[in-house]
Amino acid sequence: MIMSELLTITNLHAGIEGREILKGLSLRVNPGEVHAIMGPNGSGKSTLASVLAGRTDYTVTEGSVLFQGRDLLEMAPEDRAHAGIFLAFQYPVEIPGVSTANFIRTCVNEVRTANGKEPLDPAAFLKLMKERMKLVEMDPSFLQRSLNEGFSGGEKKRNEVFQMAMLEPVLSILDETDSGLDIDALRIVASGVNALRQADRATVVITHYQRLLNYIVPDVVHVLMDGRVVRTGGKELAMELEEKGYDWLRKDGVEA
Amino acid sequence: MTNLLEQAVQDTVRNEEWKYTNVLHLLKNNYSAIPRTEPASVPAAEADTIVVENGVVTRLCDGATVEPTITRHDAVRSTATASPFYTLNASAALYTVQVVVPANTRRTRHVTVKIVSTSANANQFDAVRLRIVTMPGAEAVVHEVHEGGGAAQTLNITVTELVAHAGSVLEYVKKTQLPDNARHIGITLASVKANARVTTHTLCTGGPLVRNDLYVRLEEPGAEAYLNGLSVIGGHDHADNHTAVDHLAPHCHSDQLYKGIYHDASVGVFSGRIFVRPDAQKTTAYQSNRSLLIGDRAKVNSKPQLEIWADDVKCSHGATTGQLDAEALFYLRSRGLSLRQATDLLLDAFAAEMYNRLPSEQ
Repeated sequence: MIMSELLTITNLHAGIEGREILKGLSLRVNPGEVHAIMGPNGSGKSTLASVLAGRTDYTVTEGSVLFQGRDLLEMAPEDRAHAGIFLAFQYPVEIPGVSTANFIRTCVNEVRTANGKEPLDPAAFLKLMKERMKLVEMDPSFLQRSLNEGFSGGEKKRNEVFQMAMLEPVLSILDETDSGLDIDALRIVASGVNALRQADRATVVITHYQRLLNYIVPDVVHVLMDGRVVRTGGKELAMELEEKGYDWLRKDGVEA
Repeated sequence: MTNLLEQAVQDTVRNEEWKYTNVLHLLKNNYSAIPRTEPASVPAAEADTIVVENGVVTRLCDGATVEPTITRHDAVRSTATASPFYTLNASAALYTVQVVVPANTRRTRHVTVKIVSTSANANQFDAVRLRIVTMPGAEAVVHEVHEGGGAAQTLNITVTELVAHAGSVLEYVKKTQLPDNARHIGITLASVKANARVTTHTLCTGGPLVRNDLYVRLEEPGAEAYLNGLSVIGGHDHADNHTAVDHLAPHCHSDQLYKGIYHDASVGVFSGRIFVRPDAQKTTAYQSNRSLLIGDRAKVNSKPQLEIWADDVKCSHGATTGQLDAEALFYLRSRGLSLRQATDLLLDAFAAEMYNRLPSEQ
C-alpha cells in the first residue's frame, strides 16, 4: 500500500528582499509523523516555516510544495489555515483590543465554515475551550485579556498551542516554540502537542536545540544547513547533534 | 454677514493655524446667512434634549435657557490662537443656549444638544453658541451632536464654552457625522477651576470639512483635563483637530489621546499644543496622536507642540502614523481570517480604545 504524503516539498528555493535563503530544500511528511527540523542559526529554518504558512514578504523562486496534493504556494494564508495548516509563531503578535476568546471563536468558526461545517454554538464552543485550555494549563482569565498583550514568553507559547488545539490542524508547524521557555513551560507545551498527535495529523517541530525533542519525540530528524537538508535520520540524530554540534555536518554538507 | 464670512476665510490665508485646512472653497458656495431673529419662547420639554435648527433654538430641556451672547475676548486672546471664525460667530450668534448644572447636584441623564443644519434651496451658514456650566461640586455629561441634511450646501459655525467650577466634573462628547454638503467649524473653550475635571471626546465619522478647535484652560490648582479624539473617515472627508491645553496654575494634569483612521482619499489634521505657564509648577501634561492611513491617497498632518516656561514639570508628546501592522495581519490570516476580516478586526480594536472611554448613561 502506498501511503499518501501529507506534505511534499521539492527543490524549494526561496528568499527575502532578493537574498536566497532556501537553496533547493526537499522534504516529505506522511500523516501521523512528527518531523524535527534542526540546524544552526541562519540555516533557513524559520524561512521554511514562513514560506509554508504563506508570509507574503518571502518570494519562492523555484520548486514546489504540495499539501494533500494541492499546490500550497498558490494559496492565501487564510486558505492554508482552512486546509489545515497551523504555524505556531516564534514571536506571537500582541494585538491590543482583541479579546483572546473572541479571536479564537472567530478563527474556529471561520475554519469550520470554510470546510462546510456549521459554526459552533456558544455553549459547545465554551465546552471545547475549557477542555483544551486544560491541555496547556492555561488560566481562564487569559481568555478575557487582549490577545497576547502583556503575556510572558511562556504564556504566549502556551496560547499558540492552545489555538492549535482549538483549530485541530492537519499539519502543525512549531517554529522554535521552545525558545525562551523554562523547563516547566517546555513540558506543558510539549504535553499539549503530544495530546494532539493522531494518525491522520502530522507535526513539524523546528528547533535549534535537542532539548524539546526529549519531550516531543520525533519520528524523523532533518538537519538544515545553508538552505538545504544535509542529513535525515531517526531521533538518535538529534542526540548526535547535541553531542557533536553542527560543524561535522557542515563539512559533509559541502562535499555532498 | 456674508462679508464677515468672507473676511474670516481671508484671515485664514497664510495663517499657521490653517496651514493644512484650506477653506477658500467656502467662498465659492456663496453661503447666505440666516436672518437674525429674536428667540421665540420655547417651552422646556421634559426630555434631556436641546435642538437647534439652522441657528434657531426649537427645543429646550430642564436647566437650559436662551441668553444674549456675551463675547469674552479675553479667553480667546490668551490662547494665542484666536480663530477668525470666533469673531464671525460672535457677530452672528446673538443668543446663547446655556445649561447650568446647580452646585453639588449630579445630572443623572445626559444632556444632548442636537445642532441641525439643513437647507432645501439656498446655500446657507448658521452660527450657534452654547455655554455649559457646572457649578461647584456638580456633575454632568453633555453631548453636542451635529447633523446635516437637505439639498443645498450648509456651513455651521459653533462656539461652545465649558465652565467647570471648583470640584465639578464635566464630560463633553462632540460628534460630527455629516453628509457631503454639510460643513462644520467648531470652537470649544473650556475653563477648568480648582480640582475640577473636564473630559472631552471629539468624534468625527464624516464630513467634507470638519474643524474642531479645542482650547482648554487649567486655571486653578488641581484642575484636570482629559482630551480624547477619534476620526474615522473616508471618501474625500477632511477632519482637522486643533487642541491647546493651557496650564496656568500649579498641580494641574492633562492627558490627550487622538486617534484617526483614514480611508480612501480622506485627510486628517492634528495640531496639539501644550502651554505650561511660569506659575504652573508640578504640571503633568501628556499628548499622543496615532493615525492609520488605510487609503492609498489618504493623508495626515500631525503637529505636536510643547511650550514650557515652568521648570518642575512632566510633559510628553508623541505621534505615530502608519499602516496596519503587517505581522499582525499575517498572524490573523494564518489563523483563518480573510484579509478583509483581519483588517476590520484590527481597525475595530484600534477605535475601540476610544469608544470604550465614552461615558455611559446609568
